[in-house]
Amino acid sequence: MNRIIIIITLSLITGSAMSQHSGSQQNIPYRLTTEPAIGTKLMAMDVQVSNLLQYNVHKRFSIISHSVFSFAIPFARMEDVLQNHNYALIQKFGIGTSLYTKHTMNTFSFLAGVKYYAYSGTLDNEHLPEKITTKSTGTTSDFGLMYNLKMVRKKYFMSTRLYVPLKDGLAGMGENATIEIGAGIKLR
Amino acid sequence: MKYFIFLSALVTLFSCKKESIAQNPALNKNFRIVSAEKGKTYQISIFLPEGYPSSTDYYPTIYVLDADQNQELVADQCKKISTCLNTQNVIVVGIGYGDNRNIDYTPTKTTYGDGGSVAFLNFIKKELIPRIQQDFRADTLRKNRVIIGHSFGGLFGAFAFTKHNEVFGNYLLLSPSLFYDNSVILQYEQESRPSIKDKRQLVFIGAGATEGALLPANDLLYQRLVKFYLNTASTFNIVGGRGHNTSRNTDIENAISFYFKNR
Repeated sequence: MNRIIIIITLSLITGSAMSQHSGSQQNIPYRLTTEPAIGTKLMAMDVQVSNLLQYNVHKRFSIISHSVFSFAIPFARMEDVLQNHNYALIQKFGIGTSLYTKHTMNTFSFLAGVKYYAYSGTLDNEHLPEKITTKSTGTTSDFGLMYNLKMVRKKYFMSTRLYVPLKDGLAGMGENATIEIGAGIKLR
Repeated sequence: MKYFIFLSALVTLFSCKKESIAQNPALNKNFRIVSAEKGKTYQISIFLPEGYPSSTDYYPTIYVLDADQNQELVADQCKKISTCLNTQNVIVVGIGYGDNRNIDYTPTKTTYGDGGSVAFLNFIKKELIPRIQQDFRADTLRKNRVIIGHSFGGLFGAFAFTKHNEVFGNYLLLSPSLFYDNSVILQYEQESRPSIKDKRQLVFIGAGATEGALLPANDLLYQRLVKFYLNTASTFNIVGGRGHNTSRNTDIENAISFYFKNR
């Protein structure tokens, strides 16, 4: 897995440097943007609010911060479990490279960071004598690839993002891939 | 040229594959068995221990549910850990799908399953185990039979533990869906407790830390095991930062390790 990360990171840096060197000198549409969004996991009933900050160092190379607060909607099939809370906070940083068309900006980035998760649920079943509350908290690493499509409209724009985690292979992609849709604002 | 090197590196990276126990045909046997109990045909895959052909020893057996997904990793881990601990390996019996897992692995009929566990367990007990003991040098003692399953497979393992405790002596339950049907397995456990609590047995319960509402019922089963089952070796293993599917492989490794160290 470490080799995959190194190769992706090097390819992003090399690709952006090569394309910069090849001389595309057009103006950068945005230097710094903030992009709040709402989203969900593709394969689970989670809702998340997030914000992405993107600073374009030059036309093809950007530095990115991605912050997420997500919370899980309780499963209806677990009739006897009362969910007290179930949320996660994720902060990732990364680098990206962008491709441009007339009205879109397509950014491919590699992000890595930390995820904090917390769960508390109470099992309360009339057929069982015990009533038990279980808690689970912890931090874990999180890294993956993000594709961000910006529909360019001057100062404001629409941002659609797909995040695919790489940490746990195909199982992790299925379990934790997310999609987000939101607005973007040009700060600089 | 740069892109060619980059692509070559990628191809090399993804073409590296660890040698698996399944690649040795002398130790891998397969057969189909038509179940009189179920009226279905099951594909059974056997991974024998490395020393099996040259020895006359009898071996413990691990019965693997959802064999298509889990059996190779289970067999690889058994080989690795038994070698590491310098102890006898096991025969790994993979039970492929003969019927839908939502039928075979669920104890009662609900929206999510058809409640075929009784018939499936009878098939294992009355047809599969006798066949394995007839065709291979499989130890016939309860304490030397193990069942391992994930999700609904773990639910079925817990069903076997509570309702047909005489079949297996070791239960490796990976993210078992104990919430199923209003936690019916925990109700079964209460009913069966007087007759099974004093038996010597081993129960591994595993789950991912981010599995949320699946955790409380598993936590309660573990607490009951600790409180009431004084001759049972048990553990509740939480895999940090992982969910239902992403915890599975780590859980398999931990469960196999727990079995070999505590059997």
